[in-house]
Amino acid sequence: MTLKKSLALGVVVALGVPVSIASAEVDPNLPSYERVSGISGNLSSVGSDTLNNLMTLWAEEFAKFYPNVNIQIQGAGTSTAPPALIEGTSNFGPMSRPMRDSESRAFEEKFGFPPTVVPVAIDMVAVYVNKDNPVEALSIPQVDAIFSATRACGFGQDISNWGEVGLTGAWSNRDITLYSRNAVSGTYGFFKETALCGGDFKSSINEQPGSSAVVRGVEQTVGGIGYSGIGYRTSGVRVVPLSKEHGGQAFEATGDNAATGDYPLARFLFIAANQHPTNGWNPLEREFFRMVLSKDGQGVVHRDGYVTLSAPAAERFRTQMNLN
Amino acid sequence: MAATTQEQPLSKGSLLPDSDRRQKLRKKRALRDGFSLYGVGAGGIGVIIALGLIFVYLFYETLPLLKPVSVELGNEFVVPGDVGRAPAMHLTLDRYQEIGARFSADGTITFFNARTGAIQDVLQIPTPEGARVSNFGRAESRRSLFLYGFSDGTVLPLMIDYAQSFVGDVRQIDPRLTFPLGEQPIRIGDTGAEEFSALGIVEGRGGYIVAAGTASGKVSMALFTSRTNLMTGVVQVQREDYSLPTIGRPVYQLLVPESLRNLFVIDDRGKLFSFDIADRSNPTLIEEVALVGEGARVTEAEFLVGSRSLIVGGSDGSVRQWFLVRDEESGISKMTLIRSFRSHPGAITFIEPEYLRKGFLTGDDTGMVGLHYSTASATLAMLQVSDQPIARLAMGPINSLALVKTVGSERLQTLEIDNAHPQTSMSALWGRVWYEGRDDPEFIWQSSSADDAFEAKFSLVPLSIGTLKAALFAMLLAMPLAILGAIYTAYFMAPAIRRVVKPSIELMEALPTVILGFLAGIWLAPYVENNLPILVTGSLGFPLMILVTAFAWSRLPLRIRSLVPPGWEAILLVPVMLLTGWFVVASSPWIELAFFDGSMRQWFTNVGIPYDQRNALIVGMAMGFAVIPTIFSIAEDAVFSVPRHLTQGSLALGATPWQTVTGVVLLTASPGIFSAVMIGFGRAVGETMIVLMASGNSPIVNFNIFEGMRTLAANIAVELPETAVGSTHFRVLFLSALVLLVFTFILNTAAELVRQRLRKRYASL
Repeated sequence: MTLKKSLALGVVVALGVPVSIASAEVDPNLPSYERVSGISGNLSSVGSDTLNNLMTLWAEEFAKFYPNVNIQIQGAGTSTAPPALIEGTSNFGPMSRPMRDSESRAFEEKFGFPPTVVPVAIDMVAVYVNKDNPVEALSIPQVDAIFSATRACGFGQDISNWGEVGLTGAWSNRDITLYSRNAVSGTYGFFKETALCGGDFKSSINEQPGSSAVVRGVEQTVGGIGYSGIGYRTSGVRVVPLSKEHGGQAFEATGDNAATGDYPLARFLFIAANQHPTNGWNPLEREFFRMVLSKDGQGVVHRDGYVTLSAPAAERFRTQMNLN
Repeated sequence: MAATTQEQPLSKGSLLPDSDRRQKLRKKRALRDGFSLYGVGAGGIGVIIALGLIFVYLFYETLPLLKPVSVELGNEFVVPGDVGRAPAMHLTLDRYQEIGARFSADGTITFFNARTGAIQDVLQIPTPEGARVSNFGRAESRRSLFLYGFSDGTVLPLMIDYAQSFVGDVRQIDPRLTFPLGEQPIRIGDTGAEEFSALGIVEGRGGYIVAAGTASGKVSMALFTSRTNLMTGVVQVQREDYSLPTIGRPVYQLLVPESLRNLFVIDDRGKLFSFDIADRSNPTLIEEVALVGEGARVTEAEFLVGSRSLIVGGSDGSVRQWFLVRDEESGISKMTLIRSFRSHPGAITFIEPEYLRKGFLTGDDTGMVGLHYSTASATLAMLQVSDQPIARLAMGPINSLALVKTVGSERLQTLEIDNAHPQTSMSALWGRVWYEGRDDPEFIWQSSSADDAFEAKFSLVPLSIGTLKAALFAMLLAMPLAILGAIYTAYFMAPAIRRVVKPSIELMEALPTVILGFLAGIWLAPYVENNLPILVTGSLGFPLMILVTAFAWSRLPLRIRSLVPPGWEAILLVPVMLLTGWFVVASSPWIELAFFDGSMRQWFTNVGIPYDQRNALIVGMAMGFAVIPTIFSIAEDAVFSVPRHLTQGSLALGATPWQTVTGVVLLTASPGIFSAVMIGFGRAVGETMIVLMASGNSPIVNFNIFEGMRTLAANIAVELPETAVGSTHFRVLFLSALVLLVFTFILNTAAELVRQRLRKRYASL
């Protein structure tokens, strides 16, 4: 009854060549950052908590090139980034999810042109369990059934204890305690969109104000489960390998799997900024972005535990964002 | 010994200052008097004005929520050069509501100024040789994705991309056609050159589905799954084709939700066939549903944004919302009628959903246009636009402009809509609402997501319940401890200890609440979870040991008792308390082993008590700790300021100290104690940081002490920084601040009234 034909057609979106690049290390082809003269002043950044450490490290790196530049960083959550950019209280809006249409529209209403959103690194949202938890792997539908009230990914029944994902012994009737970021967070939005298939969280989730609070919660609760950026992994928690389909192959949260798209919760991290369409970048902001997309900036990404951009990807973003 | 002034011998006449000085002093005094009269008065009135201004400001910020919706007829125009062209199949507006697009049946798309009709551009879609456009389908408005069907049996998906460029500060929009699945028309199914009777396209999670149905009831679909390599930006598209079991009736409409798990087919009678296509190699028919009542048929059906709920318009003018609701028993999702909107006088001819909200426009064959909002379950406006049937409607993405085209007219009518906050009706804020994808109507607070198609859930009930819950458990702990402590400290305790005890308890108030909350969340919550028996042994052990010690002390011979001066007995309790505390903690693992199989936490699960680590008990303990000094301090002052002559009189008449406390002191001090409790309660209601840090901020609606809560104050602290200024979410947060203020206002007013009555009643003592 089913007629099945399968053909693969590659649609190249940008000028990238279809080569898969393992990016567990910093790509040696990335250009080194060259200092330019005449850069000084103050920069401020308001936004993502996931990117908070990264922004701080980048600011330190930037200060090595330009000792006269001051950077202030605030990281309450991604949703705080667009309002701050719009109100003009920040230069950079680090975001762990793409900008919503309504947010970019609010920006346009104020400035008359859309914001520029630059991808700066790749993150994997990891599902953390307590280090003593023996669960081997979870599928996205299972994760959905654990966290959501709607089960939009289509898992048959609700999962509220560890026995329901196949654990035995003492774990067979152990409650699952849910830790989540709060609604300010881009990770929250990303997780809701990707892992819950756009559904709703259960009301019983424990909303934590920051990524490290989520991880700490899981550390302290034997039956806990939570999600956060991979950069917040500690020795008290374990990252669960995930599969896209129930019964499919599970993938570890590694840089290679993120780059190929096998790990289901990989995403870009962005920094939004205000680039005038005709006058171009403010030199200070431009140099910061150029530094971030250079070997030096991506070295910081690697040191902080995130996945670096490959040289062609960084080149593509520099060209697109008018940063060359 | 009375304090007297030492009379100095008068050396130089009178001590009275001379008249000049007296005059000066009098002036000074008058100045001071005036200053204190007006200064203090101004201060007091200033406080009241400031409070009033807060109210006014909160009202001002929430007022737009109450603003009525207005829909007005705007200008009417003919798109020049459009007269005599093939009939319009569809109308849209671009994201700035500046450019309208008219999709003609001859394959042209005319772009025109949405306010004047001046033509900006005309694009021609690539039509296969010798074929003509025979059918048309569209995805959600926000995707700007359309599907053309041609008479040779091929279809072509295309998107309109409104490319922006800037000349100076002026934005120029240049519409272009893009082809997400290639420029070549594609063939769906094996129908040959048979024309399709209905087309459907959707861009969903992980790909596109293009579906086509024929007049013979055959439905075929093609799934294009896409996968993006994050590094290279390359999108891999893979096509798979499937066909569905025939429905045996002409296919009237095809609808595929974004989840790509279901497919809805509506036949010519208006019956809906719901297919489960989650297992794509084996699509199954779940059910057949009659969407409208007897004697009527479905004339139009359209998804709301997010494609979870289906708005169905009937020939009887009815407008209904349906979506899939899972039956928990069988696990099968069935189409369920959720709510009905106000009926139109004529058959519904067109439904146009809003771009990023759950509202929609309806048009009928009497020329009436209705504006509805699903979450609020409300019909916001009905307007007679024409006396001709409505053919097409187009809603602008900013929800403020709509285009109306009537049958048999080349004219386009614009509608100016002012509808900023339709989500917040009284019933949506305070009642149970049946949200998309839920099994039942519920009270839910879940305000945002990464996707604009998300249905915001603004129920203030979980927050209000959470606020009361947190305050209640805090008071449960703080009230007895603080009041009893205050009575003892003020009445029984030796002044020497009191001088130490009172300031130290008041010092507790200086402890930053954020630190209390932090300790409670990070240390206390896990500790309590791992040592649950201490709750039971502690709450029983401490009072019991105090009583036992007191009783034992009273039985001791007078010789020993008189070693401790009156008012110093409390010191004796310190070692007892320390010992009890040690015992309670040390015995916890043994009790768990003996009675709870080694883990009381697990025992809770086994007997079915939900237990959350960051629960109301933890919050109650931390917040109780923060509230104790407030209550203690005021109550202690109240008890202490009971006039000595009353207590001494009572004692002199032979009453024991205990009788004096219960009969005289408590009654006289009751107004003060009462206001201490109310001030403490007010503090607990408004407390933010402790709840924020120590609870999980879970917006649940129950009073279980072992589950968390989300309070109004904590919610505002969490969510206010993220909202766009002026958005509905922003205003709802202000509304919740207003609710909080009204809460405390009512509470304090009631408390003041009760206090006044108490005071009057016991003033005679």
